[in-house]
Amino acid sequence: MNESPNAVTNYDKRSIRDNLKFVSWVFLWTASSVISQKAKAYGWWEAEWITLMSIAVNAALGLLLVHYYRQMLNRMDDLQRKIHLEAISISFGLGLVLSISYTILVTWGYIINEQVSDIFTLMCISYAAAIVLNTVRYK
Amino acid sequence: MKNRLKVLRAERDWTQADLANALEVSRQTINAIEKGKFAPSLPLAFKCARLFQMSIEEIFLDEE
Repeated sequence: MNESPNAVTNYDKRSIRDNLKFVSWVFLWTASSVISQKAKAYGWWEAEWITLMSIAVNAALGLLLVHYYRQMLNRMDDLQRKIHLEAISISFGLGLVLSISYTILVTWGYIINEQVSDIFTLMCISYAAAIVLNTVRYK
Repeated sequence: MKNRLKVLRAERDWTQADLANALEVSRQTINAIEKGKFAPSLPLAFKCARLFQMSIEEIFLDEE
């Protein structure tokens, strides 16, 4: 009865497919975010309604991304779901707490070029780090 | 939570991957359960019980 740590199960194959689809959704959403942000600045089009449409498309893709992530969470097995839910709670908690600290730093002038994307980046990094740490923990 | 998964698996000459496939979970999950690092949910415990044709209490042991 050999234990091969690299043995790929049916669950792993399905999980890889789900993750690839998730990455595709993230890519689509990120691309639409960049387009709706930069289009006006670089004068890609003049019409106001196209700008508004690109923002609506970005929001719709974001909602579909959230919906897909929720479906993916429900398809995960017990342990994977626990790992991801813990990562979400850590990322959300850090985002909430540090956004308050960030706001205070901005208010008192310690941070000059404040950007909402700083908090978003922090949440993404903490989410990824929590997944890696939890995966190692349950290995 | 202690359990007899490893013993039951060994009796049937199954690998962790075989058991993971039968229960439709990842091999990491089977490994974590066997090592007592992770307690399975009730539906997964019932699935194990059905697979080994035993009761949940015969597979999973309450340590309290």
